[in-house]
Amino acid sequence: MSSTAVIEQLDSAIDVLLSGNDVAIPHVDATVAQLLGVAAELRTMPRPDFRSQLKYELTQGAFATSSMNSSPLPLRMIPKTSRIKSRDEQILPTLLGQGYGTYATRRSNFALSVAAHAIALALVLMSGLWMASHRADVRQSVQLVPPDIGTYIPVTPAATAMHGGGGGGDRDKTLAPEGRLPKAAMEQITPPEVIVRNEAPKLAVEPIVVMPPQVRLSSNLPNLGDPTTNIAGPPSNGIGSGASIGSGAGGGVGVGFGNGVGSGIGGGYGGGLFRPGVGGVSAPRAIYKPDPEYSPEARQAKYQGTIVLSLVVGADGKPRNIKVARTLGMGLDEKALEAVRQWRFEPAMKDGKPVAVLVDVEVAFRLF
Amino acid sequence: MRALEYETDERMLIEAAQRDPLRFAELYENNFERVYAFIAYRIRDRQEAEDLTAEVFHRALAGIQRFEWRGLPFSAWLLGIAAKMLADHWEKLGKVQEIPTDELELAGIDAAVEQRAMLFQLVDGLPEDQRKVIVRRFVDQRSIREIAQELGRSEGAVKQLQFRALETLRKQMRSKYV
Repeated sequence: MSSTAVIEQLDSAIDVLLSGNDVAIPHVDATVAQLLGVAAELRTMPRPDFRSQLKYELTQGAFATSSMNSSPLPLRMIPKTSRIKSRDEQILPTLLGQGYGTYATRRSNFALSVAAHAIALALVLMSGLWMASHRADVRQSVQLVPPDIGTYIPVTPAATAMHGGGGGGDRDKTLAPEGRLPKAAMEQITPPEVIVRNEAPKLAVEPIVVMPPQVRLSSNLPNLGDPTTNIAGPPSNGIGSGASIGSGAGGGVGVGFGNGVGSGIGGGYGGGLFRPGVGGVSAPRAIYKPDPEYSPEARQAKYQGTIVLSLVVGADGKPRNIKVARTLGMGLDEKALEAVRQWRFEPAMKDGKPVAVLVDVEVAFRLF
Repeated sequence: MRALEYETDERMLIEAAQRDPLRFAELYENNFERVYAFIAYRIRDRQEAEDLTAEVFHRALAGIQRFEWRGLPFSAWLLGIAAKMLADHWEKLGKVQEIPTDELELAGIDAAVEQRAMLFQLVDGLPEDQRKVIVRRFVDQRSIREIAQELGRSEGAVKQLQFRALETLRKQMRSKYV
């Protein structure tokens, strides 16, 4: 007998078996007869969910018994009809059934829960839509706080704390001797010399060092020289360069650079650069200041802070010698340097003349 | 030795259920098929068999405090309750059919009942498609055509699944009892 025939014969016999008429089952193959025996046993098989439903009911009853410590559980505590639960009751017992575990059905609670979830979901969706439609408004932006150098300017200019300097020299073999300074003025035409190289100039002009006229460096010596040295002689313009006196460079006197006196740069006296607010020097003012960009890593980390840059604002209004005085890291220092290099200033003024000054600039990085 | 271990375990389960009725669930799991098969063997109607089975376990839960361990399996006590309920059931229907409870206790669980209980358990272990066909065919009493439509398969395929499922069950039963 082919397997197909066996299958067909088995199915026909099962049809008869399920109709309840066992006697009418025709004579069948031995294999079919064995399988039919199994099929007959399966007719009274319980529903698949009956076992779990009954367990659930028993657990409820057991819980009530243990919690109430009462007399034996009433046999009909749970009506028979409840055992056959609909699909909805199985899925949502807290709404459509008898509750879950020890929790009775409270539809109002269910409704409140649904409403609360719906409101929360709506808020989430609305915020998402708002963010999508206002992308430009919520974009992270960098705001540059204009550098306030006012705090670095003393209210009362200190007459003694002066800066600046200069130097010169004539590439002599010996250092310039001690001597008095020439006349101080803010504009120099002829640099001072100890040894005058041109005895008969076509247009004689009094030698000058660039220094505020009110500065007085006392010296009783008759000859010109460097008042900051204690070398007695011989006469020399010094080993520096720039046709003046000293070991520096420029048209001044001393070891510095420029037309001033001392170890500083650019004019004046006392070493260092002019400082705004000192000796009648005004503060430079930034007139072109592109904003720095945020570095990607700092933006990602939502890193904020302030960088202090130290720089020289030249007489031409350009920043030079920019150095980081207070670092912030995460690539922001480089971004600040990059931006400040492009800045342009209205230069600091002293007695109506633009002068180079050393200033500190704060660059603030903020995320909004 | 194994029987002794089983007996000790069952005794511990019973004592645990007597202290805490919530532990009754384990006794229920161990004996459900046996009790149901015992009742279904005598009552051919599934709905009545389920109702009586539920009532047996509810009574057992209610009376677990009165249970005294006498060395017999817990299932014997459950089947005793079932026998009395069956007697009451037939009495209501005007039928007289005695269930010898003493004999049950002495002879242990009836082999046919045990075999049927095992069969019901084995159905759960069938492959999903075969189990679905068996449940639809024998529990819901659907025709092959209806099952084929529901499962989206041909009638021949459903008959094949039915054949394979019965063949698997027969082999498993034979391996356990022969």
